[in-house]
Amino acid sequence: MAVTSEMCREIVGARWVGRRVAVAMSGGVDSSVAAVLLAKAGCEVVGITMKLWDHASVGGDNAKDGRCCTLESFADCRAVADQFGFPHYAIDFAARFEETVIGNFVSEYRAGRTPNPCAVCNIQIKWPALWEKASAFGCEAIATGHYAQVSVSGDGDVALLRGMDSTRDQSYFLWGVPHDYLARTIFPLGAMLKSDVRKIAAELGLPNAETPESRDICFIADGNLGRFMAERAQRDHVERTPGPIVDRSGQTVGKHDGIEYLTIGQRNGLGVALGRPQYVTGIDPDSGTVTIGDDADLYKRRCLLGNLNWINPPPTDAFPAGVQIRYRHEAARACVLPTSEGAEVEFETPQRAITRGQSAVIYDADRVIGGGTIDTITD
Amino acid sequence: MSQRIIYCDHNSTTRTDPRVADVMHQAAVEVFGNPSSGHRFGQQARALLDKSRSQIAAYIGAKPSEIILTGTGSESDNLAIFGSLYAPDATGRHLLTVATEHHAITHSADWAQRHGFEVTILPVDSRGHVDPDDFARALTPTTRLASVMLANNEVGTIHPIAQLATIARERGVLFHTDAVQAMGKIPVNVDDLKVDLLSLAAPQEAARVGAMAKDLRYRLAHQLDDIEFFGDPDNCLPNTVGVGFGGVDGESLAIALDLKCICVSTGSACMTGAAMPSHVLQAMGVSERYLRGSIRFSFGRENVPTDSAAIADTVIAEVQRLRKMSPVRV
Repeated sequence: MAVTSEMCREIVGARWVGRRVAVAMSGGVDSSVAAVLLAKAGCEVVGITMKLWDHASVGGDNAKDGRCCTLESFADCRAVADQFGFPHYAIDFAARFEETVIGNFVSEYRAGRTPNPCAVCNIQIKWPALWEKASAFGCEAIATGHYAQVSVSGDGDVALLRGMDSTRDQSYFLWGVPHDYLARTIFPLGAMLKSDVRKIAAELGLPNAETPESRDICFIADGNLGRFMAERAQRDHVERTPGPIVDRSGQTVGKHDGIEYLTIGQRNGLGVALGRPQYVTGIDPDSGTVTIGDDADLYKRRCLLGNLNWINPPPTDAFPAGVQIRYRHEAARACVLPTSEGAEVEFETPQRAITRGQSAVIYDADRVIGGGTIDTITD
Repeated sequence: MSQRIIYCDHNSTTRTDPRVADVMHQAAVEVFGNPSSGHRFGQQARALLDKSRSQIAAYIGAKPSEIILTGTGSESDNLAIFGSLYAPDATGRHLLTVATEHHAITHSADWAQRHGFEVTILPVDSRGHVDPDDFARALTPTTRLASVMLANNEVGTIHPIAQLATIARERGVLFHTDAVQAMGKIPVNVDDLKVDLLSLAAPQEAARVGAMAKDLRYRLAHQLDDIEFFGDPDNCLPNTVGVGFGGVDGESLAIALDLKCICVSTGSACMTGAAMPSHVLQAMGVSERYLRGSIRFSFGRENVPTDSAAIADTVIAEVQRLRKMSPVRV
C-alpha cells in the first residue's frame, strides 16, 4: 500500500493541513502510524509521549512486561519522530495519572465495582491534561491512534462515531471526552482497518510495525489484577476483607479473600464446587457478601447510569438507543430516559452481567450520543 | 527559508571545536597504539598522551603527574569521592558536601551513606551560597573529604573555593571541587583554589558571551514582571542565566521555544519525561511558582551578539502568550 500525501490529506481532513497538531504517541504501531499519516498530510506534527506510570509505583516485572511507558516505547517514539523529521517530547503526567486513573481504579474495585480505567484516562488525562500542554505550545488539535471517528459538520455539530474496523472500535472508551475537545480531535485511523494500519507501518518501515497488541490495563502490565490490588492494599495499609459467598437463597457456600478481587460474571477462582458452573452475580460492598448463581441469574434488564456525559444534547423524553455495557459487548436495544442525575436504561431483552462501575455507552447506530457509569442494576 | 537554530544550552554540552575533533580523529586512526606497549606504536601513543596531559596540567596550574584521565566529568567526580573514601590509608568515614552539587556528587554521597559512611549535606542560602562558618563547623576529626563545586551548572553561582579549601586544609581534611561547569568560563588554577582534587571536563570556551547573558537579563527584567533570577548576580558564571517565570509552566515554555528554534533547558525534565523538580532550586528555597516556571539559558561559542535580543523577544512573546491562556482553554 503506497502511502501518498494525497491519501494522507484525505484521511486527516483538509482543515488540519498546515496546522500544528499534538499526536499522543505510546510507542505502539497505531499511534506511530497516526503520527506519520499526519506528518505526510502536511500537518506540523509534535509527537508527545505521556509518561503515565513507572514500575516503582505499579509493580510487576519491569524486565518482561509492559508495552507503553517503558524505555523501549519511548525509544520507539523517538525513532519514528526522527525518521519522519518531526519533534518529539516526553511529558510526565504520572502524578495526575496516579491521582485520577489509578486512584479511581483502586477505590472502585474496593467498592465492589469494576472500573474502566481507559475511559477515565481519556476523560482526565488524554484530553484535558494533554490539551493543557499541547495548547501551551501552540497546537490546534490533538490526534491519537484510537479506532474511532469524529465528524464536524459545517454548523459545528460534532459527532463521535465508531471506528470503521468493527473488531477494533474504541469509541466505547471515548464517551466521556467533552464535546469541545472532540471538535479539536483527529483520529487518523478511524476509517481504517487494523490490517491496513499494519501494512502501512510495514510500507513506511516503522520500527514497531510488528509489535503485539497492547493490553487492556496499561499499568498492570503483567495482567495480574490480584497482585496489583494486593500490593496497593499493603501500600495503603488496607486490610483484605474476606467475606461470605452465598447462593441465590442466601445460604453461605464459601468465602472469598476480598471483594476487590472479584467482578460480576466471574466464574473461576471462587473456590466453590456446587457441581455446576457458578458465577458472581452480586457484590455487596457494605456487608462484603458475594452472591453466586447460575448463568441465567446474570441476566438483568435495567440499570441506572451516573457521571453522564452527553456528547450531543439528548432528547428530554425517553428515546430508543443501542447501549453497550462493556468493551466486548454488542450494543443492545434499549430505552434510555435522561434524568437530572443521569439516565435510566431499560433493555428490550435482559443483558448478561451488567456490572457496576463499567461504562455504558449510548449509541444511535454508529454515533455515540453519550455515556455514563453503571451505578445501580435492577430487575 | 529555514530559521536559524539558536542553541543556548551550553551548560548541557557544546559542539566540539573542529580543531579538537581533528586532533582526536588523528589520535584514533594514526596513533592507535596502547601507551603501555614498549614498541614504537606504544611509544608514539605514550608521547601523545604525555603531551595532552602536560597541556591539561598547564591549563590549571598543576603538574602532569597529578592528572588522572577519566571518561567524563561525572566519572571524575565519582573517582574523587570513592577514591578518597576507599583509599588504603583513609581513616575518616565522614563526607561533607553541599545540597546543590551535581548528581555525580549527590548520588555518590547517597550511596556512601547507604554503605556506612557518615554524610553531611550543607544547606545553601537563596543565592546558592554555602555559609563558610557552617562549613567549618561541619568538619569533624573524622572528616575524610569535603567536596564543594566551583560553579553551579543550573544557576551559575560561584563558590569561594579558596576560602573553603583553606579551612579544610587547616583541619587536615582533603578538599575536592567539581570545576566541570567553571572550566573555560572563569579562571581555574589549582594553586589559587588551594584544592587537593579537582574535576574537570573539556572546557567550553565562553569568554566573550558575558555581554549576551547580561543583555538577556536586562531585557527580561525590563519587559516582564513576575520573574525571578536565580543565583548570585555578583558571583555568577558569565554565560548562565537561570530564571523563573511566574504563572508559566517551564516545560511548556521550553517546548514552545524549541518549536521556535531556540534550545534551552528547564530545571525539571529528562529524556523519559520523568519531571523532577530541580534539587538545586529546591535547596535554594525557590518558591513553587518560580520553580515550576524555571528555564536555564547558557550561552557559548555558538552564539552571536544578536542572539540575546532574539531570544529575549521570543521568550517575552511566549511568556505573555502563555500567561494570557487560562489553564484549560479549548
